Amino acid sequence: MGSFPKFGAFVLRAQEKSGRTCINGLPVASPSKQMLGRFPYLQSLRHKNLCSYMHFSETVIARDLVIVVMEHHTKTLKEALQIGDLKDEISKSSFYLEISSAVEYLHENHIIHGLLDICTVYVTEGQNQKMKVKLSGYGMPELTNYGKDIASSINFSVFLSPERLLNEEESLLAATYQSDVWELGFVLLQIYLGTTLEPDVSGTEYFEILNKNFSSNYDREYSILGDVIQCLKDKKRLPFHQKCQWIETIIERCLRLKSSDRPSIPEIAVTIRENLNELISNGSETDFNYNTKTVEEMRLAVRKDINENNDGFEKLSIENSFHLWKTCGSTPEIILLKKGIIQNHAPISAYPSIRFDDFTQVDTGIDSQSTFEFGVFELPQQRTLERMENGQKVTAKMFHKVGSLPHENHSLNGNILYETASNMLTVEHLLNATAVFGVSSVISQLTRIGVISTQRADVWSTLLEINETKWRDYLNLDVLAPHSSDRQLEVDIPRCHQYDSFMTTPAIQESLRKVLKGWQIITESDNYVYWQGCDSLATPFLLANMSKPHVAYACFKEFTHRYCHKFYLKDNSEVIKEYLGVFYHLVAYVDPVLYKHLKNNGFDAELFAIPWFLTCFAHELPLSKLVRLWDETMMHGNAFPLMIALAMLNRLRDKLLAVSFNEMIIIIHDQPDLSIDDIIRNSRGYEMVIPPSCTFRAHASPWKENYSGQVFCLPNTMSGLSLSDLSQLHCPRLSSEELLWRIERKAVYVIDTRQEAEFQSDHFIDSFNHPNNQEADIEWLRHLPRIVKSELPKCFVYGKNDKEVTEKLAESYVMKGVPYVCVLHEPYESVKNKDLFVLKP
Amino acid sequence: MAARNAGGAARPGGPNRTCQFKLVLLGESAVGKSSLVLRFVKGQFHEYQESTIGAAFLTQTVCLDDATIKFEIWDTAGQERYHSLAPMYYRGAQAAIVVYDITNQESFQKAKNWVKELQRQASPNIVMALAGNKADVANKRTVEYEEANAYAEDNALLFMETSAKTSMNVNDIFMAIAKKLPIGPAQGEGPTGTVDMNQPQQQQKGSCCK
Repeated sequence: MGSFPKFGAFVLRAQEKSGRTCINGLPVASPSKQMLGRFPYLQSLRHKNLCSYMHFSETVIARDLVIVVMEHHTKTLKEALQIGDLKDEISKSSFYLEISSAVEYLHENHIIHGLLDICTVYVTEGQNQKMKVKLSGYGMPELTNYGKDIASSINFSVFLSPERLLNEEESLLAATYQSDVWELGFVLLQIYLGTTLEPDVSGTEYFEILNKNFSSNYDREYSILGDVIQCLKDKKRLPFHQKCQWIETIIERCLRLKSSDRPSIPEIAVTIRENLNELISNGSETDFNYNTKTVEEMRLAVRKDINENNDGFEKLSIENSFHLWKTCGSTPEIILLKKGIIQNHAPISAYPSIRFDDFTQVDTGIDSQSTFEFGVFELPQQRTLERMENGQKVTAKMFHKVGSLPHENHSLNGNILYETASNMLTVEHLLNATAVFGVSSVISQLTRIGVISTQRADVWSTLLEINETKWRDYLNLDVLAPHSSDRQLEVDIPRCHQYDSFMTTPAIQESLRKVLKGWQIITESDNYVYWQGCDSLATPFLLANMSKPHVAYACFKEFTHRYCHKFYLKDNSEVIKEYLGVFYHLVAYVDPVLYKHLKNNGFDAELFAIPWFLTCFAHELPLSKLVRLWDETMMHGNAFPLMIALAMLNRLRDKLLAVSFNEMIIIIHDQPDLSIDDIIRNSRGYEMVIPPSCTFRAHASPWKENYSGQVFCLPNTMSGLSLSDLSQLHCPRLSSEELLWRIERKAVYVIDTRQEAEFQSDHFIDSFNHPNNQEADIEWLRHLPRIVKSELPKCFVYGKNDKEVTEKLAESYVMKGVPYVCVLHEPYESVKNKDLFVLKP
Repeated sequence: MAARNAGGAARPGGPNRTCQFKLVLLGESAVGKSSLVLRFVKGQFHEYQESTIGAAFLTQTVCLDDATIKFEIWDTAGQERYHSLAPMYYRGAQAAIVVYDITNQESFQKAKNWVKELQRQASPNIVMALAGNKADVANKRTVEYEEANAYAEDNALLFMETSAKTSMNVNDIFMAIAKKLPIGPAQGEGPTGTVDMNQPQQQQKGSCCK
């Protein structure tokens, strides 16, 4: 089980600033919220020599305490130096390389480390027993707004840069890129010497050295490096180390008092690489990566894993591992409370022991209800692992079931943890496979497995076929320039999905504003504008891609292009009315009884379904449910939101049928206890039952990819109806292409309303001649073979002069409660290429 | 609509009549329309009340001395783009509350536009009230009480400054409307709730009071 990563947590106390309000009268976001908003960027940083940040949460127990969780390792560089692990030149050299490249990566990404010290560098054992370093605790200046947002103290290294020590006004977290250079110098120095400076060089001595160098007025003869080494020499504590001039030069340059004299981190990293060129070319280790392997290589790797009896967890990404950790135990907060890291005090202990006169106090008591120990606490993982090991031997084989049959009996069955881990890996493989085989190749597997939250961003990007070309234009925009929608965004964004804690943070709200504004600027030329509701719709994409607003933008644009096509036109009434009209036709198709009830009560779709469709349910459902619905939506064609709406309506069917207008409208606006599984299952069901051409809309998205089968890919010669024609019709229209396709497969009841003579001269195979076309004749219908239980469409076919009459006839069947009624979109005579399907007696 | 106003069948008057009235809220976005309704109907207030799309519908019943009034409240979306939907909601309404935000001059101008539109296009007997919301942040006021009051008097509107947050004047404004609504044998409005979609209502009943 060695490969399951460890996680460490530490606690910070956020500054409390209550009572301040913004210009609009709303309270200012608290510092803990502000930190929460900054966290996703830190979390997004990935480098092989950095411990990844995993999680940030406000605590329930005290509103000012926050918990940060990050990847953790047990041995610090300090401990490694103390036990003398670091004596050989090869290890030292690779440490120089790894540490400098990690800090270089941070600076490239505009992150100041701020806590660089031998205590925050971990030493781990990589492949081939080779030691590897991992930096942690970085980015605190960014997270805490240079210390302004936290009230608790942090343990700093003794060897802080002089400018940080002298800056009394600011917090010690007011670090800079140059102060990182200084502190890097001390880390390099200690590696170089192979020992820790403390306790031999104490804080006092460090200050003396600094003082001496200050007063010497930058005299070249003195150097911090020289003085530190001298200090050790004097105490006879200077260990043996192989003299190395180039590294001494680097360290010496890092430790210049004047920050502008120090080299930049990239400069240092380049110098180190140049001097260690040989090491780089020899010692490159390959990280595990399926992408770069051929099938043969993959098989070999799998066989090797099985032979070595690896547990397979090493293949999980760190996010996925943390997701697993979270699924099998309690929260970091509860653990920290149980272990006494956070201590909760009775409210009374916050009172002073003695108070006299008015406000004079003696012994002020504890100033907060909760106190905590500062430091990184390793989160226990026994429970995770126990559940993993429970009952069965684990081998890597279990993780390689890609391509296996859905119901093949696996020894994994029953162990949710392994199922999840295996699914995570499978989905990763599938996403990689789409690059070669296309999205449609993975839909069926993906539908079966579902989407795990840690992979949602990748899955969505893949399904929406997002790549660089889709966001390139966004990156060049000026989203800060004033725009006509500014006022609307300003009032809408602060109240968008505010139950989600990330949405309450200034950073995420700002990102949302940029995404929406960018989208408007780009789509302005298509006459698209911001409609209230766009904010709700863009939110899930942003929350999935918090550190990448450009990806969120691209997803939002593509998703709305597919599923909300033309909804945000300045004048969208045609589009929306067509959509709602088709929606009600589908209601008539699947549930004529409900349709009649809705119609009789004047309960039009405009009254409730506009927010459903305009925001693709983002305004109706809480985010946790919404994302699952969207996972499913993105695996279907552009008519899927209609199927969801049918499912939503169906769920309330019995209640709606029992009441009239007022109660109906209240019922439909309130959707408690909605089971998203049921909705998804029913939506899929409707997609199976409803002929695809019945969902035809003139304004539908040109994006038509569909993963559900041949019938969805037929050509379609239908054209749109005027809104008045649409409202006259009480059932959907079937395209003639689909009719012929269905006749060939005996998947339709064709009811021909032409006069008997015409019918006799030629008609579709297996079609029935309706005796009169004035009124619905249930008895006649009932005698059609197997029709009572059939879910096949009953398509009314008519001659060129009988269109209106036939539509009335279809309506009268609908109103009598007959389901699955539709009419052909054109007269019999106009149907092309029908010869194969026509009988001419 | 003709069918609506042609009613008026006399019926026995009595202290316990229940009358239904359709009331619509209009006004610029984020002035607090939904918050006023939420305060009135459920006694709740959310600092970050989410935006309304299309419209929301709620009912609340209030008691007057001689009748019980059931308000069927249509709370509309404020964004200008949703304007084209508004007639669907105010047509056939017996009462309207036009809301503005006392800290936002522009929303007051918008309110005046709504009043004009209602005067032109809504039912001529509609009872209109003007609500200057967010009275709790009067220190940030940009619309003076006197100014709004004078405007309301000129246009024969009920007027109150309200605060959905502190609930100041919220019930009062609905009660004031209730008192002005025609209750009694002489008037006869259909049971409303149903929104006029320019189609004859098939299930019109004769009167608002049962």
